[in-house]
Amino acid sequence: MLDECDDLLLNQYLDGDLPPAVTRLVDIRLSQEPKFAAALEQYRRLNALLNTPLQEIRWDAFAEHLCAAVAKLPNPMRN
Amino acid sequence: MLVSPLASIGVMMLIDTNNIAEKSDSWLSSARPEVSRDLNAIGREIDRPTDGLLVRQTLAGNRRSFDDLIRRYQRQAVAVAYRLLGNTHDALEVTQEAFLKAFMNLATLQKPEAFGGWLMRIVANLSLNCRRGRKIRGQLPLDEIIPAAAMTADPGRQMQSSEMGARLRQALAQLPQKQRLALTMFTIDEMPQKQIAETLGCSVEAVKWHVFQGRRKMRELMKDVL
Repeated sequence: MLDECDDLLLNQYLDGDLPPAVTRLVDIRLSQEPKFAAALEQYRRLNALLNTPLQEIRWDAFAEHLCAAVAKLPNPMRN
Repeated sequence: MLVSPLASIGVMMLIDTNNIAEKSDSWLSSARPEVSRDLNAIGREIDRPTDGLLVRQTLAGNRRSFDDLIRRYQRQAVAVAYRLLGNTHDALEVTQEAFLKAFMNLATLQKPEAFGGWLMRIVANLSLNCRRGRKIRGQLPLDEIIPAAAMTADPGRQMQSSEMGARLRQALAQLPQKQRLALTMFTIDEMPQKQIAETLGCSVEAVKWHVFQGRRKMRELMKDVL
């Protein structure tokens, strides 16, 4: 397991939060350290799993239904 | 000489304009629709009423303003619920319940401009309650909202039924709530980090920290399958 600093660095690299100079340094480390590169690959796979795409939805129909449901409610009361 | 950031943006825009002017006619004819689209998008953004205005108009009795809020946030709300629940049907039901709850409690919203974050908090709470076993009402005409072809090919349903999906849900369930919410919302492209921060009631920096800690734990919990 990587230490917390390296993990943080990889997460920032993944999110594009690092300045260009640091990104280049991480690129060098990724090309030289298999353990470091493997950890990045695991983070990428994890992100892909978390990012399962949403099913196709008819948004206009859904909005219409929501608006109709709200229309049945009384006006919200002011404080 | 010091140049303010706004002045430097102005200089960059001037340079861009000059560059465009120097390009050939053929390039310009193909570039014009792009430029025009961008300007239209900017125009729409400027014309777009703020969330705060729409909330105030709703409270003043203009229900169409709330309809605008529904159209503005429905995709994001469904995305948040979907990430937390793992299937589209429950996500749509929870989103409906969240909008109804938001409408009924609109007057309690302290900062109308923060409607988006407030709504996502309602969505997240309802989703977590739903996961704890509370039944949702099931009043949606799903066949009108989800195309028939998509019904049979729900990526979430496929994911949910797979071993990997089960592992993912188990691992997510082991995270502290803030880490779980931050991590799931962070994967929604159209959700700005500022809004995640408003939803969680913390700073953007804290959101990033929760995401980092969540990912780190998830990688450890799922290392044998990643």
